[in-house]
Amino acid sequence: MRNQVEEYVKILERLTKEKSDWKKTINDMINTLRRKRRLYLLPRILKAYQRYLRRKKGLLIFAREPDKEVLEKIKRTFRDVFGESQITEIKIDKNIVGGFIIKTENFLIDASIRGLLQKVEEELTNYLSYCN
Amino acid sequence: MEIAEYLKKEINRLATEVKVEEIGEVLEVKDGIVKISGLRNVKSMEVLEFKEKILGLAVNLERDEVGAIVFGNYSKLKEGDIVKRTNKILSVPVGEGLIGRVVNPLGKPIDGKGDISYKEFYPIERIAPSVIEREPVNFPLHTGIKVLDALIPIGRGQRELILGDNITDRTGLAIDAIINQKNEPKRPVCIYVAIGYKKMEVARIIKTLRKHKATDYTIVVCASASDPSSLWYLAPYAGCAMGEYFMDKGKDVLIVYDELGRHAYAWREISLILRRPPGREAYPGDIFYLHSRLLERAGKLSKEKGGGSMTAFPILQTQAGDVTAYIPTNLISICDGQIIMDTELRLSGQIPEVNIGLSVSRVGSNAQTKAMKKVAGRLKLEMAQFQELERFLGFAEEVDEATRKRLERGKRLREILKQEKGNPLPFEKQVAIIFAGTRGFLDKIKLDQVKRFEKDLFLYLETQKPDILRKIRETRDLDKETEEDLRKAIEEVRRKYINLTNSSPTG
Repeated sequence: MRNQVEEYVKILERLTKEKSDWKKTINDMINTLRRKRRLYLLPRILKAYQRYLRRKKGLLIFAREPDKEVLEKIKRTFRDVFGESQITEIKIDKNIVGGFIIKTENFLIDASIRGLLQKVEEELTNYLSYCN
Repeated sequence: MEIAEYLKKEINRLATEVKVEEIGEVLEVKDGIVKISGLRNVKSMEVLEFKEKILGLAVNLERDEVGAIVFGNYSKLKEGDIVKRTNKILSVPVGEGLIGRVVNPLGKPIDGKGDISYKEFYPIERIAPSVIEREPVNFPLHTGIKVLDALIPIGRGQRELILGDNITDRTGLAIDAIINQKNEPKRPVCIYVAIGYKKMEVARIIKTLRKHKATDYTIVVCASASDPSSLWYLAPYAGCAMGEYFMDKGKDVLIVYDELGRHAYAWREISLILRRPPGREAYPGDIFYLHSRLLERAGKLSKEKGGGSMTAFPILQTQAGDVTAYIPTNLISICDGQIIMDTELRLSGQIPEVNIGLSVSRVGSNAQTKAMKKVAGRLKLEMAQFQELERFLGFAEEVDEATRKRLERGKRLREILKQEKGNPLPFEKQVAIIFAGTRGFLDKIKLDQVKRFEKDLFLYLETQKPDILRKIRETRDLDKETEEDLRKAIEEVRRKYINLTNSSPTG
């Protein structure tokens, strides 16, 4: 059953890449499932597809609008390091003060000023408790 | 100035140090169990860090998800929270600083006496010592309880299960054994692991230990009733790891797991929420391994490994005296013997309510001292015969003289095996009173005066003949000379109780 679900997820993956008329294709897929009496697989297919999307998703957070050059450089490095995922979303969050944060399903790169301050706080607390 | 310098240095270091952290995302939170996506390279039993420094443990590694148990307040967690890998296998702090303290299963003090300084950490899960690293149990662990030391002797490194119904005082027996270690020549470090007990009950136990100054050598690991089941599950392993530290240092350890039934419940709960396939009584398939891997870590190490030992007293509550239920049979087969506590004996006033017929110690007799072997050799047989006779002659009016004598002696032996709670008896005194009982010195003493006689005998030995007790304690034997002295001392005390004419005891 897992294999069947994966087959359907692969179809969905291909569709998103090809950017074809996905509405029509999904309708076809549902009709196929209905015809084969496999409609009960639909929730599992959707769940598996969500998992696939999560795996691919990459979030980039900046404190302010980045330079195009910097953005390109980060994207390129990201692609080299994490081949599977890609930057799918860019957010602006003033709370991180400066720098940037990259978040994928499996990895987190915190190069923000907020992250740095948190680390300093942590180190200082440890140091003070050690001194006491 | 020093702090400013330190800060500057740290900021410089951290600013250039951007790490790639491996993370996951919380998908589901239910009853202390969290399903996480991501964490692709996480290891089994690795510590995870949730927000607000809440810790968890990866226990289920599936294809796309990780199942983890949470040690802190899981109600703070929500879907979408980030979970970080720590690259650390779950360990507990160990060391001398733990002695006299009450800690939770993560090694954090909960007795309000401040932090404990640690130098070492031991993994919670550890492979038990191999066959080559062990040696047979050969040194006794005196519990101070006459019926145990005489009939069900326990050796250092043994695993002796204590089981009985709700009404029986299983914990009391184990606590008495801890208290008795106070005067032992090679005193073991004691660890009491409370699993799922109410905090009030644990406080009462700690108070008892304090009253007898047993906290000087005891560590209490507490996963109370209000703690999540993850901590219940962890508690015995944490206690065991703390004990292993001392065992590796060549010391002796006595550990009490109170009680493993609740431990099994906790693992069943975790397993069911993790959707592991349920088996008999809804326990998961690894319920046997859960306890066998824990208890196998107890034992006696060889001289090459330092000669340390860990004696385990797992405690289990039975339902309606059924020792053939699932968990009791598992534990009986894992342990080196069992002490079965009988509800009926308790109700009839026989305290401690140990069922002599069903209780057994499979390895302890090798460790029993010569003195105890000499005096208690016939005790088990005599008690078994007496119990048989008593049941058989329950309604008989007249019995022959020999049977009557046997019955009378049995009653007196039963009387001397009674012992108040919280009053463990040194081994040399046990030898003295059991000697008096098995050699027939009590046969002519009225049954209701046996306890008084016992007290008087101890008082007499302590004040008038301390050499007898000292010799037994030091040599652990009862040589001819000491035996003769003891015989005379018992005769002396006995004179007060009966009018000796021509009756001499039969030996």
